[in-house]
Amino acid sequence: MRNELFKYPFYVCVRPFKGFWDLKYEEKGRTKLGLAILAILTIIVILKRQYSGFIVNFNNPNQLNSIDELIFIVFPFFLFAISNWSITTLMEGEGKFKEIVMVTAYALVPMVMVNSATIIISQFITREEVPLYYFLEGTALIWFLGLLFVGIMTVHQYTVAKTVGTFCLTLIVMGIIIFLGLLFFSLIQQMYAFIETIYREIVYRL
Amino acid sequence: MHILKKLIFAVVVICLWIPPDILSVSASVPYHGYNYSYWEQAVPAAIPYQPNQIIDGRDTEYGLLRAPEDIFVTDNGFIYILDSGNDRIVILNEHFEFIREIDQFANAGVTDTFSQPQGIFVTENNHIFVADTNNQRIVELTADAEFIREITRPDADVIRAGFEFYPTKVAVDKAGRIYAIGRGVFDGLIEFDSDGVFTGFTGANRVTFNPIDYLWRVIATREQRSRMALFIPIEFNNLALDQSGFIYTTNSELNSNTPIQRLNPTGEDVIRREGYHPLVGDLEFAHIGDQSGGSFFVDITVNDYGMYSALDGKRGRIFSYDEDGNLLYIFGGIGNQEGTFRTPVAIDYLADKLLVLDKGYSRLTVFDPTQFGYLVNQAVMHYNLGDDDLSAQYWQDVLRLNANYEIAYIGIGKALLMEGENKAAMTYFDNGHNRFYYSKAYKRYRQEVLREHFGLMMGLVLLVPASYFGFKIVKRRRKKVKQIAKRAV
Repeated sequence: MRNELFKYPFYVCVRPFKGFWDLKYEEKGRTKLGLAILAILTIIVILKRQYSGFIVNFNNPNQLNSIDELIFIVFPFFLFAISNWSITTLMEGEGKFKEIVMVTAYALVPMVMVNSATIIISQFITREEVPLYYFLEGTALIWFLGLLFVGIMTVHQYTVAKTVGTFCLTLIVMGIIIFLGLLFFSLIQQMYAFIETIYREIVYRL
Repeated sequence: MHILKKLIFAVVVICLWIPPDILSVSASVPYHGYNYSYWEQAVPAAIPYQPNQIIDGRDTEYGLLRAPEDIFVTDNGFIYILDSGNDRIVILNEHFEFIREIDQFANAGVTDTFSQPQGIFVTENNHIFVADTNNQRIVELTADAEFIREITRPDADVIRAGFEFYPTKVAVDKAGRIYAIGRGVFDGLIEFDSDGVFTGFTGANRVTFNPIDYLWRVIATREQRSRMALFIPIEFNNLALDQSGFIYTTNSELNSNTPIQRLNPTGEDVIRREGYHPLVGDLEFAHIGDQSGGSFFVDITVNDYGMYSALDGKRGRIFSYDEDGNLLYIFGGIGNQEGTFRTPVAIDYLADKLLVLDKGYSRLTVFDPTQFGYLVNQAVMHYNLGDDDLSAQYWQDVLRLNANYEIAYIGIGKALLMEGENKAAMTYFDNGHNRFYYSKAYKRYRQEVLREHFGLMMGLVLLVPASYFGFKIVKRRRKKVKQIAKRAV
């Protein structure tokens, strides 16, 4: 049983329609496993920044920061999940938040696989073979997007057109959330500065 | 007290022990040694050149220079200073001893002089070409100051009405073609054939403008448009010829991507840009305040080994590149000490010395290479001459002085690659951040390894699947045997 659970993400990659269906209705997925996939992806991307071959590695080792990967992977992941959930609950989507997280995470499996492969491949390539490397990377991205699309469609029981629509709206909502977040922090900062100024004034006058 | 005396004595003794050249390493140059790393950061570097001598004419038979504009050094080491404020040419030998001066010449029986000349060029047979700016002509003289001819405003269909010919710089190639830069001429270099007949403009800079300005121009009415500034190509401000007749130019565009160009005979820019960064001088600079903005090159000079040095008039720095466009070193600055300038206007090589002419201080500063500068120059020279091994040896010495000198790693790597030391070459190219050559070295190395271990590789390729299937078959058989045994029971 446990073994099957671990094999399931790979099954989803190649049979997305049936895979995501069973994920929702046969309870074949686990949120914990999904989060584990996300964690693995983060680690893989950190490793990739540091250890991919010289030919394709343009990162300045002095400026590598693993915390950045949280900002570039984990944050967008949850941003997407939250935005998608907020939109789809309003648009008669059948997916629960947990399912959205699971589907998004399971869709990341090709990224994990291909990226770990390309780290190794990149050690053994010359400049002429670099296009192959980028081709693999591109494949992984397209594969991921395809899986995500199918997954969201299945989980919410949407038509294709409606899925495309919700994706566009999700993007907009992501933008709005970022905007509100920035606004919030900026306001907090202003308020903090204001209170600090008042405090100083009072301290000086006393 | 006694202890203090002892201490002072000890310090003095220690100081005497230190060889004098170590004390003078950081010696007294009024500018910082720095270079740009692969990651576009200014990093400290050894000082490549130091001021050695100042020539301003004080206490000499030719007297003080006044606002000199240009300098030319011939192949046999004669230095021609165009002393514009005094309307004369001062000729010195390679030891900076006075040879002669030219302040007048006989033009058709009449005594003629220069008027605010700004450019000078001397050909191989020692004919002197002077861009006699305010007289609107180019004058050709022999080495003995005999007048040969003058070239005045060209006349042709392609020349705009109202074109005024104020030549500021001039150069003559081996075939006798004359190239001039005119003040306010944005059509390119003005080219004359060896008879002084105008043949056309060459190497015009392309017009650059930003999209927003263009948008405004499109939506403006005709009347508004007529009052807008024109989009005009950038004019050149200086030129130099290299050994093979290519023209190196600098131009006066601010924050340009191509302030240094190398024009081939058809006027195309063919400069090699294989260094880490574009050939723009300073990469990091202030955006506001005095001396803000990118480097502003006013002159350029090329040596026989493809190295060229461009003079930044804004911050008084000299940027030297090799023929591939690698930034080798930077030195100089604006200031009032020996080795800095007020208004630097011209630069030229004298063997491996660099001469910088300062119009503001009316003097010529002679820079001698330090050991570091000498080693870099030697390495570049031997590479240019095709002697990679010797070049690599010099690069090794350079690395001893500055282990962060990334170009040196590439130089050594190239030599190792030639010798077939592929693995070692890879390490050096990695240190030098050169992916092109790294890939070359790696390809050879990979082939080497594969060839060496061909048996093992093929063995693995054949053995692994064979053993896998073999294992499967054995397993299946055992199962069958078991089943048969079961049935038998």
